[in-house]
Amino acid sequence: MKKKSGPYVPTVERRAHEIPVEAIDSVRAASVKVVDARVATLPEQFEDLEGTRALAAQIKEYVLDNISNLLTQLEMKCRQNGITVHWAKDAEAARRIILEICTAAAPAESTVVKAKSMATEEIHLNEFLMKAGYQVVETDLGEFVVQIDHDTPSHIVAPIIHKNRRQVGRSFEREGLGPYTESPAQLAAQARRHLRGKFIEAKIGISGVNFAIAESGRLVLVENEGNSRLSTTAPETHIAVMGLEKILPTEADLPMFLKLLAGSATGQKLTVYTHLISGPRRRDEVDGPRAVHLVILDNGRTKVFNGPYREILRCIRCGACLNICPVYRQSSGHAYNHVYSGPLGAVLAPALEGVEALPDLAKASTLCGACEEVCPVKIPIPKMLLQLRDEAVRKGVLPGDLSWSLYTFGATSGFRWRTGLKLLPMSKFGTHPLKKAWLEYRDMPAKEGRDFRKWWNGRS
Amino acid sequence: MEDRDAIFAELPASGRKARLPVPPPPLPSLTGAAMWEIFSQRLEELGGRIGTLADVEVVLARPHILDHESAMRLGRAPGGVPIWQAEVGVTTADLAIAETGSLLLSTGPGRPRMLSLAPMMHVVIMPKERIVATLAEAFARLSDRTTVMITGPSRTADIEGVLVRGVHGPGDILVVPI
Repeated sequence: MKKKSGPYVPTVERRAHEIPVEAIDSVRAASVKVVDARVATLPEQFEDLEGTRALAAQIKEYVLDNISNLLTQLEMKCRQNGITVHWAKDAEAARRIILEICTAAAPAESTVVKAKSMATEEIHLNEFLMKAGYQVVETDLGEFVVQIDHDTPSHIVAPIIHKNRRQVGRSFEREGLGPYTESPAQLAAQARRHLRGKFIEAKIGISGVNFAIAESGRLVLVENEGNSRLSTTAPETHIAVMGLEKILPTEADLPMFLKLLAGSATGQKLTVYTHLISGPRRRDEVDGPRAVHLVILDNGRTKVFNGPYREILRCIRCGACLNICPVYRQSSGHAYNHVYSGPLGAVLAPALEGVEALPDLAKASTLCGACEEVCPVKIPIPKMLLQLRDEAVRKGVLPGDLSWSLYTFGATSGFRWRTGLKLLPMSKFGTHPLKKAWLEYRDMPAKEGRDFRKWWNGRS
Repeated sequence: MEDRDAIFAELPASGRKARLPVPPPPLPSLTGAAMWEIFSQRLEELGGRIGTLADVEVVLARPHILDHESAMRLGRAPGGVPIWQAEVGVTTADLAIAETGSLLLSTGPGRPRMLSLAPMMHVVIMPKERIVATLAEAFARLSDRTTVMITGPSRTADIEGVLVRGVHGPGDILVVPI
C-alpha cells in the first residue's frame, strides 16, 4: 500500500500504510478469532457480566484510591515471605537495580530466561542486559520469534499476531532450530527442544506480575505455555517486575479477576497456569528459586494518578480493546510505534510519557466506543482519547483542524449559514483535496428538486 | 530508598473510600459425584483425561519421577530419573475444582514444583474427596506456600491462533481420582 497525498494525515495512519498487507491480514484474522472466542466465553462465565465488570472496576478504583496503603502492605507482606522489594522511580533506575541483582547472582555471559512481560518491554530491559553481557532469552513462543527476528511485539497478549506460520518456519530454519515446516505443532516442538536447554542452564529468571496481592504478599502470574513457570522455578534467582498499580487487595478478589482476564484476553475460561508465588524455596522444599526479587516500577505512573487519565491505571492488560478496535485491526500494533498499542496504548503511552512526546496516538481512533464496551474494568477510553486530543491541541503539539473551526464559525449564526450556503457552490470547495479524495471512489449525486428554504418559507 | 520516598511523596493519600464487598461465592449444593462429573467434562474439553490406576501402571513404563504421596499410594519409592529426563511426572493435588476443571498443587516437603511442569506427561493421583465446586471455594482454602493452579495441558495459540498443546509444560494430563 502506498500513502496517498492529501492534507494532514495522522502519523499512526501514515505508519500503517507502510506495514505490509500480509501483516495487516494476519492481525485482522487473529483479532476476529479472539473476539469470537471472547463473546462465546464471557457471558457463559458470568451470569451478570455487566455487574461483574462494574464490580471489577470498583475494586480497581479502590486500589487506586488506597494505593499508598496497599503498596505499604504489599511491601511488608512480601518481606515476611522472603521476597526482596525494590523501588524504581523510572526505567533507568529499574534497569540499574535489575543489573545489580544479576551481577550479584551470576557472572555476565550467564543465561537469563525471560517470561513475557510488558513492564520489561516498557523499560527496554533485554537490550540493556545483553549490552552488559548477559545472554537474555525470551521463552514465550511468540516473544522468542520476536527476539530472533529482531522485531518488536505488535500486541500485548499475542506478540506475533502480525506474522504467519511461513514466516515463523523460515525464522526457525534460519536459526537452526530444525528443518523448515509450516506446522504450528512442529514449530512449537522445535521451540520446546531449543528452549529446554536454556531453562537448564539459566541462572536467573525474569518475569512480570499480573496481580500482586497486598493482603498476602503473593505474586500471581498467569500464562498458557509453562515458560513463565519454568522461568520462575528452574533458575536460582527470580526477578519479578511490576507496574505499581498492579495490585489486588485480597486473594478473594482473584477468582473474578482471573476469569475476567482469561475470558477477555483469549476467550479461555482460565489460563492454563495460575502461579501464586509465596516467596523463595523454603528449607523443607527441594526446588524453586533461592531468591525472589520484586521490582516495583513507577516510570510515570505517579504522575498519571494525579491527572485526568487516572482511570487507565485500572487496566489489567487483557488486550480486548486492541482486538475489537477497527483502527488497530487495520493498522497493527507497530503503527502505534510504542510498546503499548491499540486504544489502551493510545491513552497509556501519552499518559506515561506526556502528550508532547506522543501527540498523534489519540487521533488513531474513530471514537466508536467498542473499546469501552469490551473493557473488563470499564475504562472510559473514548472520553480520555478526546481529552488527550484537546490537551494536545491546547499545547500546540497537534494542529487544530481548520475546516472544523471554519464550520463552527459558519454554523453558529443563521446569517453566516445562509450566506455560506449561497456562496459555497461558487467557492473553491470543488477542488478541496478532501472532496477529491472522497469522490475518487464515489459519485456526487446530482441535485434534485427545489430549494428547501424556499419551499419551507412558501408553504401554506 | 530514595526512589521509594519519591514515589510515596507523589502518590495520593490513601483511604478515601471504604472497602467494597466481594460477592459471596455461589453456594455449592453438589454431591462429590456430581462435582467429579463436571470436572471430567471440563478437563476433557481442555484436552486432559480421567483414568484409573491401571492407566498409571501403563505410563510408568516410561522414564518417570514421583512425588512422595503418589509414590506411597503406588507402593513405590519416591523420585525416579533426573527431572529433565523424565517423560512422566506423577503427583498428588490439594484440590480439584469442578467449575473450571482445574487442579491446585501446593509445594512442600516431598512435593517438588518441577514434577507437574518439566515432563511431557503429568499424572495426578488424588483422593476423591478433595474436590470443590467453585474457584472461590478453592481460593478460600489456599495454603500459604507457593501454589500453582493447573487448568488443562500446556498450550499456545501464538502462531496464527492455531491451538498447540505441550509447548513448555505437559501436553498430556491424566487425573486419577481414588
